[in-house]
Amino acid sequence: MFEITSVAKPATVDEALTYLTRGGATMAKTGAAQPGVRLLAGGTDLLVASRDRNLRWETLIDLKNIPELHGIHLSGGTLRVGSTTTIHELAASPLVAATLPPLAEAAGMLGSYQLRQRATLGGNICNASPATETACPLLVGNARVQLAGPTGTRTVPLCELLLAPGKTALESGEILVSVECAVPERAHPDLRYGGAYIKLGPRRAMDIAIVNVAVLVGLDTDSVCRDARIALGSVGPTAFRVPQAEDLLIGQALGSNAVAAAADAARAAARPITDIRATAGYRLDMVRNLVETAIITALERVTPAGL
Amino acid sequence: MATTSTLTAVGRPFERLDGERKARGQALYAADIELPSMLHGRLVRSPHAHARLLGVDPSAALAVPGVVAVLTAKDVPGRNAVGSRGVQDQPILVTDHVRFLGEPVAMVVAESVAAATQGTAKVKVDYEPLRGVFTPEEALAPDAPALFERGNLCHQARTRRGDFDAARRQAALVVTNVYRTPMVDHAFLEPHAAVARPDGGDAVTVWVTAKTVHPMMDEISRILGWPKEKVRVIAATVGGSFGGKPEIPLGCLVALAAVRTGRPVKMVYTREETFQTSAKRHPYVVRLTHAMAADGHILGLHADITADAGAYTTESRAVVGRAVGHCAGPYYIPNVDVEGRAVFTNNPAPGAMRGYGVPQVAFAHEIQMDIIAARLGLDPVEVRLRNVLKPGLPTITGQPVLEGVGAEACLLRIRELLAAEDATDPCPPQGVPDRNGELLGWGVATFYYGNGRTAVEDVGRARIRREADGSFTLFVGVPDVGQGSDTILAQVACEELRVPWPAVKVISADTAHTLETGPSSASRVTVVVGRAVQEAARRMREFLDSGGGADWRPGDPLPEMAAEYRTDSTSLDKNGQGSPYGTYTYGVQAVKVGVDPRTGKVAVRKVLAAYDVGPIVNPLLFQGQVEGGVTGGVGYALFEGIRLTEGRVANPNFHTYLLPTALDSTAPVLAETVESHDGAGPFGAKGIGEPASIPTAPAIANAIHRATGGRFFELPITMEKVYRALRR
Ligand SMILES: Cc1cc2nc3c(=O)[nH]c(=O)nc-3n(C[C@H](O)[C@H](O)[C@H](O)COP(=O)(O)OP(=O)(O)OC[C@H]3O[C@@H](n4cnc5c(N)ncnc54)[C@H](O)[C@@H]3O)c2cc1C
Repeated sequence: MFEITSVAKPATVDEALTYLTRGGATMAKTGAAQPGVRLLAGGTDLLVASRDRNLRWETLIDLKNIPELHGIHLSGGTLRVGSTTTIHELAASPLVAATLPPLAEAAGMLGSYQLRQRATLGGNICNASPATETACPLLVGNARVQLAGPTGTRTVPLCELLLAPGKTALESGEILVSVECAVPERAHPDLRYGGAYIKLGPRRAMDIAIVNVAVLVGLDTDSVCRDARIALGSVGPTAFRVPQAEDLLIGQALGSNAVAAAADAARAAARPITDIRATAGYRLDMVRNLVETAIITALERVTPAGL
Repeated sequence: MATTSTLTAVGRPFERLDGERKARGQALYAADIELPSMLHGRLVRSPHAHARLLGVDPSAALAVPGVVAVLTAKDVPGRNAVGSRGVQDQPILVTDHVRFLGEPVAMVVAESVAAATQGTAKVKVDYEPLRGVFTPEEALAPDAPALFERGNLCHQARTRRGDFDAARRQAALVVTNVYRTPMVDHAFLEPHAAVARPDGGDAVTVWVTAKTVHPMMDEISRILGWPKEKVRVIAATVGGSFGGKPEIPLGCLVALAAVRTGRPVKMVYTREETFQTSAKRHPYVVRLTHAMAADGHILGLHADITADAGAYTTESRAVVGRAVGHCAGPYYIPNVDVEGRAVFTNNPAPGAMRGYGVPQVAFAHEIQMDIIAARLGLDPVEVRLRNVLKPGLPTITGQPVLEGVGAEACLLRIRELLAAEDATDPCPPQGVPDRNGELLGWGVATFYYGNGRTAVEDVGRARIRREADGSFTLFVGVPDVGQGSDTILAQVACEELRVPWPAVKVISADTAHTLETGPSSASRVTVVVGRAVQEAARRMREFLDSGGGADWRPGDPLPEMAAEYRTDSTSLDKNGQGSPYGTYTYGVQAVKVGVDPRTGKVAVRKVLAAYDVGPIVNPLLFQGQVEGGVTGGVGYALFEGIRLTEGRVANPNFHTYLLPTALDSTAPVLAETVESHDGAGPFGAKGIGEPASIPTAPAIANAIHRATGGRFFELPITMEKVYRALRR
């Protein structure tokens, strides 16, 4: 049976860091995070895993009462999402829908309605599942994550944070504070963007993806593709971008041949495994078919010129 | 349909009697029961699927604070063997031979669940692992290790009539295929739970989550070595059954623990325990050979059916017994040679599940019918119409079909409905996507289902009491397992008593107050128990009409009437011939699917159904049964399957065992009934519980074929399989 001895409810990031590095109020040690201490956001990964694996926690540090970790803001052309923002808030946010639509779309497909009220963006990223819902859309948003630690804060690209299943580059004692994406249209005012997110699973809710794909394309006034971003999930140890496929789109007026070539390149870049949900071969074919579909959908969604 | 228009309670869409209580969270499930000074039990379970049990040392567990007792097989005072249906071969705690993974070897009883759980980790158990057998083929191999002295063949059953070999020689077309269906779980929301309370030193009350209480009482009394009168079993609110529950060892174990400790004891299984150790639907391998005349008539059927019975007999004999009588489908076939068997393996033992051995064979015979139609160039509905059972014709067990049966009418109605669909919303040709990029197709499947238990005289009993205030209480031995039987039976009683709804209160499934009336299963409650209720109510009405009870004074015993109903079914001879059921439900479902050709993902778009089910007692509950049954069928067709590796369930919870979600069950389900006059139930009613689910999976398989050209002989039909078929 799993056990939790205490739950700390810090009100600031600094206070949370103190708990984390000191191992909580009950353990007067300094230095690295203690083995029995863990950050708690929605708990939809952590508590489920704790029960499954009979984990024991000295202290869980609940991040949900820290105002600076929460909320969705747009300033200076950058979308900033606090780590304890819930997945439901992301899915329902007009700001996210307007600035990075694949992220809103993906958030709306995570788990179930009930689960989305609880699950957070930070938890989804730090859990580092290869099938994580938000990673692909954030990768095509060129997301950077802000981390707070005992020695200050640092910012790293999301692609450098995700290392392997269940593994991030988060140092012990660090907290994920927020995620930032430069709004594509603001970064490239000369381009018009369209995006798409596809999650493939056997059901229409409550599924862990067999393949996830996010696509963002930016076209110039002549409808030539000048920016292309493609990310894949569930077909490698982490979600990842596929520059090999993106390069085949850039500089092209996107006809079916270019799109098919990019889809083939994405397939070639995928490194899926066979597991209980699907075989590697099926996943490869799905990467191809769904990247193609996602690019086509993204192109259909490019805002018409002059708007 | 026998008309219900003159009736005031039967045929009305009343809300179920327990609906509000459940919606408000007031219903008390077994796990909700809290008693003073109650203890909690947890089981030490074998990590081996097949082993000798050499010894159990509880001393370290007894030293854990809070642990009160550790029970082993040595603590069972009576005969340590339980089972249903007359075969008692399963110990409640292993004596010396472990036969499946998760089998209980000891029970730790403690002041808290946490202490009991800690205690289980401290019980030292010595095993000598044995080679296991995990498929019927392995189990029947000459050198296979035997689970029982009598060997690994659990049961064999036959149905024979006419001369199949001659039919085969005459046939213009012979079609043989092998079909495989997986083990699936009931997936009720409420896991197994039970609570027992000692009543003085020589009696015990046990609350269970169960489809039946009297057999549980029998088994507990045998385990304890007590007379039955000393054991009272009550069904708490049941959070879903679908044929599953009771878990007989669980009821026996809490009773034993309560008697041993002198304190109430509760035990609740985790979801993982429920998945690993409780009954499931039997996996089948079904080989069917149809001998066909050129005009589409079936001349003969050969069937070979193998079911994995798992580690104990449980319901396997009856499940296979039903399958060999139903494997032809609702068709007239003069020459039949069917053999079925159940084989012991070191897998968790399957038991009863909605359809009781028939969904597996329906999957096989209904795909056969489609293949035959294609080979003969006939429409799938037409080939069924040519062979469907009609009044006077015998089933393959030789039971004559009664006047008034509407099996043919169901097919005719579905043909009409499909023609209307085709006129308004036609599907593009096979393999051609519609404007949304989807491949579309309709598939049909037909079935029949004998109501009640197979080839035994099925008995229903009921009792009605008039209370001092003039209201009535109905006592029935079957629990409402969620299907609404309390409501249905109260409607029948109200109707027959000619009192306004809901003037009848129902007390169900309490061995102290209700008569044994069989389980809440086999689509039998409305029919068999319902008839007893009707008869008891009729007697009460006649008693009151003739002035009975008029001189009743406070202090007098309350007027009571009891009744019994026995089906006119017969046993079967050695060729499986006879009349095993009083009544059959017939029906057809047509399912429209959409298939995404890029992924193979299948969505059910629409379901049409026509049933010969007699008059409907409650339209709301009927629709609920059909929608629920279809959803179960969608899961069986597309998603579900217990994955076993050497007897271990690899997907023991709801994030790995995939069921359809609400969003996967949005297709409209339009169910109609046809006229039918043979129903044996009250006012001509028949059972719908299992019939709701049986045709869905083969109808979906046939629809996917129509849409994609792919044929599937094995469930579930995952999107990956559909995708591969499309690539071929
Ligand atoms: C039924 C069910 C369905 C699900 N469906 C999906 C799905 O469809 N798609 C999907 O991607 N996921 C799914 N999940 C997984 C899970 O819900 C998500 O990953 C969720 O976003 C996790 O967020 P949380 O706030 O609950 O994280 P928690 O469980 O609280 O934390 C997860 C991990 O991240 C760490 N952590 C949390 N916040 C921070 C922070 N700010 N800084 C550093 N570390 C932190 C925790 O210590 C922990 O290790 C599902 C889970 C369940 C139970």
